[in-house]
Amino acid sequence: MNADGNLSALSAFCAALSERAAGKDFIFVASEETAEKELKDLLPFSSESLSPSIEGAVMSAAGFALAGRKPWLIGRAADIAGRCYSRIREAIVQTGLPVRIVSFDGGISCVHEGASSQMLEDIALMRAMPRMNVIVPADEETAVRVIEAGDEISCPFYMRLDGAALSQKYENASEPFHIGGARILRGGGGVTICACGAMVARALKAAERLEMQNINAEVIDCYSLKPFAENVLLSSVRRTGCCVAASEENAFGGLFGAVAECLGRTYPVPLRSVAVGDEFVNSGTQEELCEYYGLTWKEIVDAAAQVWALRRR
Amino acid sequence: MDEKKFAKLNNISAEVRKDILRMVGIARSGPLEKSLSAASLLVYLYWEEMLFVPGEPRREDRDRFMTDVPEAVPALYAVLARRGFFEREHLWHYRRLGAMLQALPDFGRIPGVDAPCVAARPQIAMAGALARELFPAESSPRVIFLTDEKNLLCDEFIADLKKSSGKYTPNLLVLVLQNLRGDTARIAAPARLSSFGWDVREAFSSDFESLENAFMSFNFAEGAPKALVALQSEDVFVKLEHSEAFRSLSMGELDMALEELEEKSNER
Repeated sequence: MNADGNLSALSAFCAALSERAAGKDFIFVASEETAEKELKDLLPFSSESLSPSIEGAVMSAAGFALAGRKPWLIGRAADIAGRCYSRIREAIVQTGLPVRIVSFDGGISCVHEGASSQMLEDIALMRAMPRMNVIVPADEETAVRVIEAGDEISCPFYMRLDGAALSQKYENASEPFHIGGARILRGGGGVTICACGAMVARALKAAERLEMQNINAEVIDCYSLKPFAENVLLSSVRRTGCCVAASEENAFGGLFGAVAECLGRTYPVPLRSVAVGDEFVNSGTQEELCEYYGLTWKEIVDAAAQVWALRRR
Repeated sequence: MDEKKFAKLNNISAEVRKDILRMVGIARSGPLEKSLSAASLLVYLYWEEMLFVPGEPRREDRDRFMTDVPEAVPALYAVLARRGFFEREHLWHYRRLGAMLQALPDFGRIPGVDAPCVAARPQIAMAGALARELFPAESSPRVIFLTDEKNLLCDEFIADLKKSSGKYTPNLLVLVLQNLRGDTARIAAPARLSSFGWDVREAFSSDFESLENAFMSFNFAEGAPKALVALQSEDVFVKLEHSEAFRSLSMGELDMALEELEEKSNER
């Protein structure tokens, strides 16, 4: 844990979880290392895992779910989506067990650790898994709503906490959360900007700059990557005729994939991606990495200006 | 064990083995050796030891069975069918497109299957967590987890065993299939399991009397988690040329193997 933003994302999530779990049927599992380091001071509960490893924690979560519980499985994105992929697939998702999976250090949050710890393809991996639901909250309010809805959700889901996402607060937060939903944070008819997680704040900043250039951007917080809120996207691009997808991940298979799949199938419009290209990332500070890999509001402005010029009329 | 019960179990085991051969033979794909050798053990469990009602496969107070040995899945299917969880007709569609009995059990779709069988091993933490959740219940159902001796060579499995012994799960029973042939015969499974604080017994997987004695000596209401090392003797195997874990049988081989099984069951 090294990025301040990421620390706040996990802290904010754990604080919300602790507050809402008190007196409820709450159970969480994590690897011994995560439970004793990252989560020790954040959660007033101990991990119930019957294994010291993260792989065993996945199996423990499945075991608790078999007994009728709805456990939270918490771990680093690289561990969960990387090391545990086949176990999550077979033990949890194939069987439809209601395990709530939360990953932290997703995207470029784990800035000094280098490519092995910076999991940029976790969302793509989880999206590709049949019957898996994928959520990337952009603010604390959404994370809280996921926690509150957690008891009602009877299917497995993967939630990624990335960057400084949860430190933000947005208007329209009263819009009800549901798996498969999205929020329009700023209305506009010039260009549609789809974003998730930490990129939502940058998308809003880009929208302000675009307004100065007389391009009225509509910013959609696509917190549900799968199922994807296709109706919200289509309703927006039918007005704007162009779209940008911005997410702190690899450009293949994540938010850009979801947007391209929907638009390509239904209503093709000029589309650009603001994400990391086909490469593994280096270590550095978060600001350096954002600049270097093109994940700032400036790239969103550039991409929006390009698609706006080519927009479908 | 009285002779009548012994004869009954022997007869059922022979029929289950024939069903395993038929289903794998008809599918022309599937594991044979481990299934055939695990058949008696599963028959003993499902006819003598486990508590369940076939007509109510989701009853809360039933004992649960799970395995992380994919090679034993045909034996489980054959036992569940013969025990009345579903029609035997399903066995002849094993591994077919759209059939209920797929290569690995589709948990939730097959009556009597209590947990998924995950190819990514080990799965013992799942069994431990389930046992831990079920233990405080009034009826304290048991969780019986079938694995094989190869897991004892896996660091992760060992770490999970140690961790499980620290949690209070007296209703957890791990059955370790130990083949008496080959390299793994040298693994001192009982000593290894005992050293982690488990309550361990040893029995022959096809000897009902030794299985009964082992089970009767366990107290599932208290104490450490239990382990039973089930030694696999050779005499239950069908002698197949080029015996491999996964292979397809020709119809000729299937006929010969069924005949051999018939002779063996008559001898017993």
